[in-house]
Amino acid sequence: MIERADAVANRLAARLALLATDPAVFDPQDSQKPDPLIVIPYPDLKPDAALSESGSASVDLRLGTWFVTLRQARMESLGIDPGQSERRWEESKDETEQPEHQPEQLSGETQVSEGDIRDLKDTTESPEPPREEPEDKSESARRVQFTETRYVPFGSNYILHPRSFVLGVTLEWIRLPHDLAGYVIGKSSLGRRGLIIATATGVHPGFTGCLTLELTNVGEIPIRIQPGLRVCQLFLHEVKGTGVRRVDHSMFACQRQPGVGQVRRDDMARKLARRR
Amino acid sequence: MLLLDFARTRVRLVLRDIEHLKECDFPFPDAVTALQRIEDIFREFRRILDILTPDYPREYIVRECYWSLQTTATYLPILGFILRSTDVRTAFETWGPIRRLAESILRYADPNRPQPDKIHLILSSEWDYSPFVYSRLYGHEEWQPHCFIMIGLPATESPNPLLLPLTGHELGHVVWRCFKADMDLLMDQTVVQVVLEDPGRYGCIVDTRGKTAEQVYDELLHREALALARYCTRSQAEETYCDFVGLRVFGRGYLNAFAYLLSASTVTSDLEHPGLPDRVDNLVLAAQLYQVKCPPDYALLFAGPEVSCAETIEAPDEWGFSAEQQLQMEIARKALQRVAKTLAEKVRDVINGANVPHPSEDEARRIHICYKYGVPAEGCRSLADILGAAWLAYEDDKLWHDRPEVSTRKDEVISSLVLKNIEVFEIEQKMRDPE
Repeated sequence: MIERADAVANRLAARLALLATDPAVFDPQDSQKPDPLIVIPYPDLKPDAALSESGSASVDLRLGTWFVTLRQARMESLGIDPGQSERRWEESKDETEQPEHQPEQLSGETQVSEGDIRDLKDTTESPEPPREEPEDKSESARRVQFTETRYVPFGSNYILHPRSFVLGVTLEWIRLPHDLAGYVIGKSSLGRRGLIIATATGVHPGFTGCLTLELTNVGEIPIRIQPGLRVCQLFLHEVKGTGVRRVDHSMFACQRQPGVGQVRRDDMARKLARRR
Repeated sequence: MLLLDFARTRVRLVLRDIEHLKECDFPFPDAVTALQRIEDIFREFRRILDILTPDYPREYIVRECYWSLQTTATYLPILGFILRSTDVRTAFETWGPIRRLAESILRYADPNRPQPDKIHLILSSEWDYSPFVYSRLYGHEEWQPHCFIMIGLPATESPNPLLLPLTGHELGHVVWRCFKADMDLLMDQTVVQVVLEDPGRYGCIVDTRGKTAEQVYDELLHREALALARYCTRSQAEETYCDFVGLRVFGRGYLNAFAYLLSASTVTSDLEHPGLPDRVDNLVLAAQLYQVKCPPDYALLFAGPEVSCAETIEAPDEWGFSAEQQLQMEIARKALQRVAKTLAEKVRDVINGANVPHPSEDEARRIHICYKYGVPAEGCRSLADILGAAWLAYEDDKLWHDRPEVSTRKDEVISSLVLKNIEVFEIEQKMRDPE
């Protein structure tokens, strides 16, 4: 069931009273304890304006000040196969024993998994097999590894060129209660100018933090965007189930900058990728 | 003449690098403004050097070459500092609130009253484990009427909001410049008092027998008999004053940040800074005056391997200072102890006059409740309250204990949350600003 604007507004208005309660007694398993919906800064300065202007069932969200782009000049390719890093290691051992089982290469392209982003210099000069990325590598370390971060203050522009891709972030910090989930989609007025929020991002109950946005210019001319721009909208849906709170274990939780995330290890995909 | 060629080349290369630096991605225009001012200085050097020919008197040429080299040496670290202000580890969200804070204090303290658009703040970092400010630039004639405040945290701490209260100390250096003449006079007079009160001990430095305080003071000024004592007293008084500014503006957050940076320190004293035990004692003294609650056993945090020694000024002896010079440093220490309370009162008057709110523990607790929910707070009164809450969160062992995916990276999440809170605070301020 989708939350209508007036219901969202009521939930948001209740946040102040709830935040005045010391959650030292907050029990995530206890449905009687406060579990507020929070959007900060409040969606619009005029009370509920963003809710009413955006129709009847979504909250407009604004563009934040941090942007992340991929380091194109440094990377040969970006593999997203979660089992690949380990597979390469195994195959490099196989090469010495059974060379007939060499993996196929796509037109001379070296496939590199996200866990193994390396400099071109490294891939050509280092004969050593890649190390598997530690599971607990921090988000900031991953971001430094293969992206560039940029801060754009209010009043400054970010130029998004045709066919370019950048990660942005919502200006708003959001906390969803256990009984609400959300979907982020772009705004049609921006989409018609070529600016696409690349995916409809699902936001799980219990999510806390700023939402990472994938921005692409699919048009023919550069688009100038500014922090503070109303860039997307969040639809909220009521969640029914066991009533267990904090179901979100998102790796992006509590971040103010765009998150790159980690392609999680997938044993099934790894087994399917085996040659024998 | 080869000498002239060297100088011309050096200046030309500095100008070339400034030209390149101006094209960097600075988040705020203040860095480019600073580069333009530095460029003006070096363009003037280039103009003078280009005029010179080997026919000019050699002394004149040497002097101009010397000044070009000195100025290059002075500004090169500053250019590096400005370049590092593009580093995205810097907590850029703090730029607006710190600038507002500096503006409100300077508007009250500075007799020249710099216009808001002439106050420039550059936040950066330094590969030196000590926060600092390029306060020298503040009084630089070529830079007037612009006021540049350049504050850098240690590189590894540049995204850490818990250390932000230390910017209060660095702002203090800028405020000190506004009162420097009066303060120097106060320090000199105090040094004279200390000497006069114990002629038996200090007679070997200045013969006070049969002389009035005015005569001793005159001798002190003209014969530079107490030059080292005066230098130490003035410098250490400035550092103490800056500690008090940080404490008054940020309250307990400053005490915590100070301890974070210097606890278990092996640093005892140098000529410019009072001994660490003295600094801590002065902070505790001023905390009482400002009604800031000091953490329990605060002084114990600083018990490094060498601080346990009762004598605080021991390093200079190791550096080979003479007995007389050590006496002068003793005079400086006594003079500083004598004026510490006066300095604390002066800081209180300035910061109160600038209408900077007192940090509120109740407000910090309110914000801390929001952090327990994992969200920034709305409607904060000051940067100090947000940073006070950040320290409460840091000290809260049970924070997010029910959310292991968050609590395992507690420091990172506190940093993200607090910096977002500071951005929200700035957004709210901007919304209140007149169009």
